[in-house]
Amino acid sequence: MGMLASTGLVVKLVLMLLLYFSVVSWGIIFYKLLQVYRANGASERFLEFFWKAKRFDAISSQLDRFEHSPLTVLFQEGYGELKRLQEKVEEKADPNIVSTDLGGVDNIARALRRATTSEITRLEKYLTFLATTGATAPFVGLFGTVWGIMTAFEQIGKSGSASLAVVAPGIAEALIATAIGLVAAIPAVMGYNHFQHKIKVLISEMDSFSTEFLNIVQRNFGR
Amino acid sequence: MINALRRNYPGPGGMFVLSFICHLVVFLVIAYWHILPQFHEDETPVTYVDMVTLPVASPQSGTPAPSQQESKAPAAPAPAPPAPAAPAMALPTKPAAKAPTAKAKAEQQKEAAEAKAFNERMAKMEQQAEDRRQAAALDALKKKGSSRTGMPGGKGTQAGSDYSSYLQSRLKDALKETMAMQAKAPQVMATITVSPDGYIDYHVEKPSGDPLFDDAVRRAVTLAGKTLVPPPNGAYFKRVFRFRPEGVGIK
Repeated sequence: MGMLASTGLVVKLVLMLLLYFSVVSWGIIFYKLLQVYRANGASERFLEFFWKAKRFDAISSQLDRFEHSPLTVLFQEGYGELKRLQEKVEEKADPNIVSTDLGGVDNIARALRRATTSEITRLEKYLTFLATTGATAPFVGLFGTVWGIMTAFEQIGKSGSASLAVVAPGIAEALIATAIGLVAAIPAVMGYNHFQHKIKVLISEMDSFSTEFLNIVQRNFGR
Repeated sequence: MINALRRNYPGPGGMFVLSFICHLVVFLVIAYWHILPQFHEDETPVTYVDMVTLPVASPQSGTPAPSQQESKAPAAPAPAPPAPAAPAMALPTKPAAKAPTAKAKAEQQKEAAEAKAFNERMAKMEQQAEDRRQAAALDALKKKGSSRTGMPGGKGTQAGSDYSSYLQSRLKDALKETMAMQAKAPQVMATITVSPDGYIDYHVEKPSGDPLFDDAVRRAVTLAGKTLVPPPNGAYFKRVFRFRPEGVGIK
């Protein structure tokens, strides 16, 4: 710890900034791990339940069991829009038919798209911080190192000796900023890439579910 | 229906606390196990040692002279050994019944004279052996033709010749510390003058054309002059030195 204690004020500030980056990045990584893996598990269970169930109202009543799945939000939104259309059509002659001529399926598609966008936004929240940390932390660390080396050279100039015993400790103390910058950046970049992939999979699942939901609506309620 | 989308998802606040605790644990582990490297400043003073001592008019010039106390140390009685015996506790002397006869005295004188002659012969032989050894060392150095030690072409008997080597060594060390150059193989010829009080002055005879190297030479001379021992015999020392990135030579 002597190395950290003997660094200058600017290097100390850089180290504190990097520590903040690291703490927040790891917080986001833990949070996203929990969120994404819960969403994956709940989505698998929800799809299994969805294809076994015969009626939409039965599925709607069981949604609380799969609260972490983004698909339940899509279903809730699509089913709600369908019910509203049904209520509107009931006022007319044939109560069991959703007229595509009036844009009923398009309404549901728009509702599903909106829900998908909302869920993507939720899933991708805080990922920008990981990207920022991954991109900037090494440079912040490098700044600390450059500053530390400048200070070390100034001290060497004052001491009047250029032996390795005088030069090496100052440079080693300065290099610690780059090391901590990399320690902060590497997990952030790895986490960002990992979660991007997982979220992409969830988005494709949501797109597939939307298409299937619209097909079912078209088959059973369309004219 | 928009409200249905807004579920109460837990925020990442708890995870930030967990992350902070993890960082704290890692920090404590590093501190406890001393994982970061530690540097200790070496306080050992730098000592210069002249490896070659050529025979010169003033043998003490350029070599660390023993201090007065050290030179006198052998002569001075070391921690007083316990007194052999106080007069009161003296061993019983041999009975001085027999007084030394004239014959015995003559024998003692003869033995003393022989011992003295023997010691003189031994000292003479040792001196001859030492002279031969130094002559052999000097020949070997001359044959070697190295420009780094001694004076090329010099006889090694002039006053101050060892001071040249000494000054060359100091200038070489100083130049290593101040080295800076732009040109490929710069060379500066400069006359170095050292006054009897140890003040060093220099005059550039032939600059290198590389301002960086010229400045490095100037700083080297200044640096070497900070800890310079004055020339022997209270005389001025003046000599032309050749400064190159590889080292310092005597012209």
